[in-house]
Amino acid sequence: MKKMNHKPVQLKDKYKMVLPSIAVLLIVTLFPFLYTLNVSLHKVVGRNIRTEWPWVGLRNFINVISDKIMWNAFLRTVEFIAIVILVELVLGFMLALIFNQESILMRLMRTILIIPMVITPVVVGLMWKALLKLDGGLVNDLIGFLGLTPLPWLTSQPIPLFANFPIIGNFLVQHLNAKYSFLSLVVIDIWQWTPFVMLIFLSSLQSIPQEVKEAAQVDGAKYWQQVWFIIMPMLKPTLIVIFLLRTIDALKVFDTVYALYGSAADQRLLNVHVMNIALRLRNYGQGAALSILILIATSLISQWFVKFVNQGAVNE
Amino acid sequence: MNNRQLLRFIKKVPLFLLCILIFFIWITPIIWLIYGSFQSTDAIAQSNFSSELTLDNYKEVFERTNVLDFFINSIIVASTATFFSALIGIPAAYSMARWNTGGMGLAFWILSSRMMPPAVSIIPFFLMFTKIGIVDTVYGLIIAHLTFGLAFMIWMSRVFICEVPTEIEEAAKIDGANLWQTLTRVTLPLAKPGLIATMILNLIFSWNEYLFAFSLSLTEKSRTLPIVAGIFVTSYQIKWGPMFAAAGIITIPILILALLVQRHIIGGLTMGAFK
Repeated sequence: MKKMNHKPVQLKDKYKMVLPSIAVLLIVTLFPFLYTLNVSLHKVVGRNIRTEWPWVGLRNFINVISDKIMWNAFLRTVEFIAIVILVELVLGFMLALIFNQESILMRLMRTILIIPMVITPVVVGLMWKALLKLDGGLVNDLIGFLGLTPLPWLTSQPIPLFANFPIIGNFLVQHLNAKYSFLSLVVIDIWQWTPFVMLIFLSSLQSIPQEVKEAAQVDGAKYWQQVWFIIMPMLKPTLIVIFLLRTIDALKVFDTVYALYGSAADQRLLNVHVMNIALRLRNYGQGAALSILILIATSLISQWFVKFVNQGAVNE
Repeated sequence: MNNRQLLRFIKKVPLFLLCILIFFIWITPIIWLIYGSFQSTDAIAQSNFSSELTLDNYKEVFERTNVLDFFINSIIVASTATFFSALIGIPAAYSMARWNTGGMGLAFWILSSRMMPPAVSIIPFFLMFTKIGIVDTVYGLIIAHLTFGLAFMIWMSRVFICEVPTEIEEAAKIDGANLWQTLTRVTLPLAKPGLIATMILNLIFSWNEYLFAFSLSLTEKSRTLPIVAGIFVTSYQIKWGPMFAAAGIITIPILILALLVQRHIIGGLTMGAFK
């Protein structure tokens, strides 16, 4: 009865409480989106920002699609995401298995390993620029200490291992970024996000009931059999959610690339390319067209992620 | 007995070595950065650190850039954006948590707006802000930071408010408290630790933000701290010393904040999909 009395009041209040947020979200997300859509259909360059914008239809989109640098950046982005996620998942999973035990040392490690993921991304980029420099970089010092030749990490020289590959070597270098500069980007992202992947796997591993593992042990399952037949299937949802989260985050990467290479055309990821079209070339129409395309692609992926989060909420 | 203990100890050795290796890979670079900021540029360029520490780099950062202004801009932007996100986000989160307002549709919209790459908003923000004359001001930056801040605040607060049992609120209502009183005297104090952690995380994200800071500030008027470090990197030369010092100035506050909320960082970065 009491609840019934409260209901009309609540109904009004509940909308009053969300309205400001919805209004602000409309202003900072939906309105800019519509604005971008409008810009993408007009010729908007540095000269005419404040004056008339001539209508050009889909010309900006056609220009974007026929832009070779864009396709290179696109391919580089896809390749970047595929490689870093694969490595981070495998490495993170292995580290989580090893660290899945309680001790003070482990707790200390967990505290320490959150640092790479919260540190300012631009600082990460600049820090690695110093670490990877040819002379006097810590990484090359270490390589030299081990008696190997220092590597030109920050240049676009081909990586011999791939370049010398029979038949496809040249293709790998020309089209698939088998270059040191790209390798450095991959290494940095792996450095920054493997601890994150590992810590998520770790928390999922700890939620597997002890009885399940004990039962497997009683049945005589070896450690690797336990991992393969019990732990991996149970971690499948975790794996998919990490995959989606990392994809979404990797699509946002800008700061580290820009800190390392500026807007050099042969190192660009898509975001750097958007920035370059917009702020350097001041071709806002074309930049807007590319933004719309990126937005469509990422919203498909985030819808997929949202569905998973939703299922998790339902299961609870 | 003794043998078994020894065996157990030996079994631990590889794990211990691995810990050292991991520590080396993930922490040495950061220690190196901070330690290096007290070395001369030449020492960093040659990676030939001496035991003599100097504050020259920090001095140079303060002399050659308006780092103090940037610092203040950073604090203004991060704290204002966080404050407004919390002010309008927490009531929305409460409404969504208690009455499922807007249903899944609203929740999806909020979550996916958080997932958007910021690069896609630089063009509309730049053009819109130019037209209304707030490009290159902290106001513009604060609005831009709401794109990720508000969605984050609503989404995370919702989780923490859900954890407060409804029975306690019912009890307060029976005692004659109205909605406002229930919210401010019962629910928010109970959800406070989580809400504060969310606000600190939001502060960290704002502090770290680079793309908007970089694309929406034309002069030094509205630049935030992450821009400073890049000033010492030009195509002619890189001044390692001051760059390291600038990096240190940016990083140290973050490290302190991060340690305060370390338990919540995974939850924050995964939007509550994991804790």
